[in-house]
Amino acid sequence: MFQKPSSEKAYQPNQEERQKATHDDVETVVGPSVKVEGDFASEGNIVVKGIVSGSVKTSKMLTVEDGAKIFANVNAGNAVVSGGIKGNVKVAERLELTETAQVQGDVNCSILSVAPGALIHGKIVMKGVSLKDEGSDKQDKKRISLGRTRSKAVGEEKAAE
Amino acid sequence: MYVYLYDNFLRQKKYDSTVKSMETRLTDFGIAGKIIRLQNFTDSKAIIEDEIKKGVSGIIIVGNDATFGHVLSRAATCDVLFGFLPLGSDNQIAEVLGIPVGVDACDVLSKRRKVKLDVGWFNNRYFVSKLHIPPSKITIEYDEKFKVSTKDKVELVVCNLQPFEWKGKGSKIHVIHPQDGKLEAFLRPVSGRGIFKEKYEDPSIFPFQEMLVSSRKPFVVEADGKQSKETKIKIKLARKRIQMVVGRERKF
Repeated sequence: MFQKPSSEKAYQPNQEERQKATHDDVETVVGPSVKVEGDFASEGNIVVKGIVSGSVKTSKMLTVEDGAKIFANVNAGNAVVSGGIKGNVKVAERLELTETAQVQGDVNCSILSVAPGALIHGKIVMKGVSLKDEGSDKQDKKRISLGRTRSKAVGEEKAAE
Repeated sequence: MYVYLYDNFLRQKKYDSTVKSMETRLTDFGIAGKIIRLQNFTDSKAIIEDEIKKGVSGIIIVGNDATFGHVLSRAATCDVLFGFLPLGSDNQIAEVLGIPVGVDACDVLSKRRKVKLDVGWFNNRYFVSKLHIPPSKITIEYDEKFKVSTKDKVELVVCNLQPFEWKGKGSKIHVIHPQDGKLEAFLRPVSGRGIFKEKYEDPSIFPFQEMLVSSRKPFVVEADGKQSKETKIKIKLARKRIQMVVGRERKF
């Protein structure tokens, strides 16, 4: 009660610091005017603002910002592309191409979102397609009906005997 | 028994009351011990080794980030339990370790929650808080996998325990808290020169385990407040080197 108030208070994170803590989600950042050459792999999120050549690999989120360039095959868990990529892009889940995105290479993903203005030059492959040609369906039906008529005819012959 | 290493700045009168109440709290917990005051030229390693021979069970550093780095960069090889009682300003490491600044730190110390910490290593020297290379023309190779180059000079900061701060656009201050298990490298290329100081671009961040920094010309390396000039340095992570008492709210 009569003690002097201590100048050093116990550490308590405030709102501002909590907001800063969200910045920790970004693990690797390639800044503008920085050039990375070689096999660029990370276990966390990657943000590219500069130039990367070689290969890029992450199991989490890849963000390619406007003005960034990647001359490499890209392998990521999720990706948001606003810059340019020259190479094949393989994304496990969701790939988002914004208005300024340019991709020159094959794209492989589960969910694809393309904004108007985005440019793609390459083959797009997505998992889960279960459609078949109409022609092949008709042929299948014909085969089934033929099989039925044949079995009917065989049954009648047996009955006659 | 614990030995307490007090930094020289704690002699200032403004710290008297806090130091006294800290000592009272430590006596209440039954963990009070011998006090050694560090001077500018005190070799902390020699003191700690001497105390280990006498059978000390723990070395407690009392001071701020500079004291912490100064003691542990030399004493990282000593096999003893370390503790930290943060006091005064410049205490960012305490926040990472989950130790409150001031008298409440004694409570954390009394609980003896022990964790083995990773330490940075370069050219046969350890660093605990951070390593800093002022803007120079350097090339960097990470984990023998990829090379990073810039057009102009670049500033490099490698953080082990001390968080890295930089001012972004509109004087917004960004803070990145390093994680244990990896070292974080922050690269800030120089984009131009202002009237008083150099202008920097947004930093690049790379977590790594091994890094090779080289240059044609010698560059300045500052680790835990100690400067040297090198042409090639290899920075590594020495895993589980220091046994330390930490708080429950630590950030790793």
